[in-house]
Amino acid sequence: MKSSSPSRSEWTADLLIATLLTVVAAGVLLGPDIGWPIEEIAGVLLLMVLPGYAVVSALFPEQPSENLHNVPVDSRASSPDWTVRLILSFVGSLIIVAAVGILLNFQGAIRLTPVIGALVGVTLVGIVITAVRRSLLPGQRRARPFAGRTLWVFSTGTRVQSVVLVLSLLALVSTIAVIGVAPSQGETFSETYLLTEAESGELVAEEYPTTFVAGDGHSLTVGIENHEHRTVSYEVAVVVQEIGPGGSIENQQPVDQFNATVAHGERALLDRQIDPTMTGEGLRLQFLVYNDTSPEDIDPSEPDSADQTLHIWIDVVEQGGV
Amino acid sequence: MSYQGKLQQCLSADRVDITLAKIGVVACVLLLGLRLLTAQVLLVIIPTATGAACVLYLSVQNRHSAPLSGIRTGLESPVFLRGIRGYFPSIVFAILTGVVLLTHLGSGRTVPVHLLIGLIGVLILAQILLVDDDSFTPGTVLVQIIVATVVIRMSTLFFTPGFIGVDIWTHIPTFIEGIAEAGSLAAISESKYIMAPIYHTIGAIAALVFDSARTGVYLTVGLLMPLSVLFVYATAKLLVPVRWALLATALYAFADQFVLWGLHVIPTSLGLVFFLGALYCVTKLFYTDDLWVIGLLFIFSLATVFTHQVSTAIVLVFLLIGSVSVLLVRLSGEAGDKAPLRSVIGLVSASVVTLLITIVSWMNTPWFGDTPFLWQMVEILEGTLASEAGFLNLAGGNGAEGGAGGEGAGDASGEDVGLLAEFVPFIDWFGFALLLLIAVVGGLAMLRSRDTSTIHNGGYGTDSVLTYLATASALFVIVFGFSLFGIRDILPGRWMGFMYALFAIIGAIGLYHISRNASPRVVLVVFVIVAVGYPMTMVVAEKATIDNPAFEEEHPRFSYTDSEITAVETINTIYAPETDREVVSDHPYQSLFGRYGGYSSSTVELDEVGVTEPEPVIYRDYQTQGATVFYGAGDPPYRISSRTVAADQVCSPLRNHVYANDAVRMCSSSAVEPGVNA
Repeated sequence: MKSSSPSRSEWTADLLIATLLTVVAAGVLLGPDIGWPIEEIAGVLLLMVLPGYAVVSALFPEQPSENLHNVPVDSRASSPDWTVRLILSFVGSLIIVAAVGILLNFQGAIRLTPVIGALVGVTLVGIVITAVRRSLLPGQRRARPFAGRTLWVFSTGTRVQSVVLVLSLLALVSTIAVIGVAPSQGETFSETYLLTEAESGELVAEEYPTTFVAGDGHSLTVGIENHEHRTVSYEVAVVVQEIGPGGSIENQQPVDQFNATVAHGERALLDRQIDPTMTGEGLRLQFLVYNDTSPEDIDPSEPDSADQTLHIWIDVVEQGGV
Repeated sequence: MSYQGKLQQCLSADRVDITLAKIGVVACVLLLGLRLLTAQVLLVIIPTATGAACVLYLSVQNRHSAPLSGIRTGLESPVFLRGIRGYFPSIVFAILTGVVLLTHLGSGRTVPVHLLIGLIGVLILAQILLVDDDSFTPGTVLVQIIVATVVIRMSTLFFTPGFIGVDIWTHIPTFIEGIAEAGSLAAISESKYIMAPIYHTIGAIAALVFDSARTGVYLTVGLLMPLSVLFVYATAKLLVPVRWALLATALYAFADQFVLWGLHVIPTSLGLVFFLGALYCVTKLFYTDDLWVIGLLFIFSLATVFTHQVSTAIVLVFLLIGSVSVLLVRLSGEAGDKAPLRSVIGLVSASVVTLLITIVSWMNTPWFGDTPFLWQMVEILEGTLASEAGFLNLAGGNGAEGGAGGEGAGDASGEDVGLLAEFVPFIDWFGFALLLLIAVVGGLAMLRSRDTSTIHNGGYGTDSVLTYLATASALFVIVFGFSLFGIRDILPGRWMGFMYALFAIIGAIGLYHISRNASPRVVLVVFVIVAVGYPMTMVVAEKATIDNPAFEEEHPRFSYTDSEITAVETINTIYAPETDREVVSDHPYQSLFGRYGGYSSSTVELDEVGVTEPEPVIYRDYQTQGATVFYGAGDPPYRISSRTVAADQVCSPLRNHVYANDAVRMCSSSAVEPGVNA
């Protein structure tokens, strides 16, 4: 019995969809910023799927041959099956992207617009060639990716098993979608650092003043960066300490205390005149940083209670003792 | 019969497979003796797995083969009740949902996530190996493999802060972002990648399209990596029925080395994809001579040349072995199935052209200094062979290191070796041992079928057998044999992921052989061990978990937290790297300062007091928890586990502490002598 020739829509449906997706993806990527996930989906389609699909379809306008185990060895006209065409579309897309980039490199034009233009061009040319080549083939031999397709992945086991399978897939997809739309805030932490002014005028974390004159002091800058995902009030206590054996604090004197309220993602540079009056050699100038702590709760003699500590070693001399 | 006669009968060449299996048993027993000379765990694992494979192969020879036509598990009765196994796909997707959620909540994978992933592997392999024909739905299984592989890789990549691995911190922030900013390849003009720019060009274009180099690379090369198992499926389907092709696909999808290159997404990853494409083409050419296959082989081979040098060397080894195999079979005039003449010409042409273009490319590839890459590599190899190579000159404790990307990224050798530490290497390599075992069985089975069967009834042509077995053997020798002699200049660790592809396919042939020849009891035992043991150990192996090791006291984490990455960025602004300014830290964190921070970084060196270098030291809390590496002062310096060193020895209170966040601290030398009592 002679089988009827497939309708035009059967062998052009994939090409129409590919054309539509190419145009829409290019529009999304070149148009105003509309954010996740539309731009990412458009980008994946244009970089990973469509150019390769168009070229692979142009190369193989016919229906795939059957599995090798069921066909003669000398099937020279054998054509890859859909699984191979699928992976070739992905790999081919990236090879086309690379070729476009390398060609544009000679013009120094690896830029968004020429890249998108070139990829759209390659894709549309591939689709046109595919349409022409398919039309030249006998009807039954034309590639028809959607012909006879069912959602076979769901048609496994009993009806209940199929329903559970659909539900589990929906749960997976919706979980990915929800997490993608509302990404986690990430780790919460604060940064603190000690800076001094270099000869160039830049604030740097090196060449700190080593000798302080009691009653005169030096300018030091405390930097605080907030990554806590909330506004934080930072309280900073500065003490000079004489350190005994084993790191014990033999003697200490408050030098300064100040605070700063910093919003998430912001940085505060707090320039302070540090003026210790307790003299001695090899003293520890310690900066104790507390998050959201009231000044009266601060006890510099308990450095472990601070959220972060910084220190430099200094000599403090009497006026005229330098 | 005399002793000599028995020996001759035993080694009869009538059955090469049997003879080799017998020799294999004896050789493996002898090789186990090498364990007495070194503590290298592979010297136990490789002989044991190979010997067990030979014994298993010999033990199933006397049974009559089952019919070849049908697809069967080899089990006389189904293991799972029909009502339960129908829910396996749903359970896989449900667990996958849990994996995504937990990875998201934990900002990366944790031990429970690793175990859930292992469970997914068990369920998929159980569907392939332990489900009877009536309930076996290949399409559903393939979808599960692809979805699981993609979702696991993507969730790990996107939920882990920064990048995973060492080298990627140069490839993306420096090279790819540089190309995207400049609009040309000028950013890599000084590197060896100017002659191999495919990965970086794709990354740069993706960076422009997605407005983020990280997202761009992950959604292109990173997405392609898990999808490339389809090549394994397509290749295996040429050699075995679909159930066993799915087995090869699943084995490779869950292999630690394949997972590694899906997480550490660098040119090696793309090179691996092209290799899998070339593998498919060469295999197809044994049975058909379609011009499109020859054309594709040219494309994949040349794409590899212009992507990655090590991958090129591997593809060349494969192509040249394939060419020699088909020529030998042709010239020998052997009867039976062999590659068509046009395939032979295509394969040989592709090999020669790839070799010539590789030579030309490497002669024009800049590397350190003015001498081209090719001559430098020749000089380095000559130097290694002349001075460093020696028997049992093993690296670290690993034997095949370099897998995490940085070639210094090996094991941390803990000093306090506990019971767990003794067992971890065996757990790490158990999956590999199973893969090797079934691959050896598969190799012997291929030898057996080569001259008695044709492709139409499940046999293989001599040229395909020769190509597969010789390539797998060559890669095995390069990975393990070269390491045994201290030759590591060609980065043998990078070759493993490529070797695993062949092992997975040959291994599937091995289990196919067992299912047809062994008793149901043996089949059940082997299948259950593979279905449970392989995925559960592969997913917790060191190379599969570089983002967050399952055995965190034994292996370092090659990813970083937000606070660790931000510390590099902030320190870079307050202590500018300038020219050759050095900081020291643990390995691998120091590599982040080198590659991302722009410093001339190195690993901390300690004596009994503490850090000996005057350079700023970067301490992080992870040093006291994880298995990062320090060096002990000595000649030469020796590796020590950072967990054995107190925080004060690294970041001494006698230094200035000038930067701190909740996890990282920078300590620089003080010009002031701390108080006499301090």
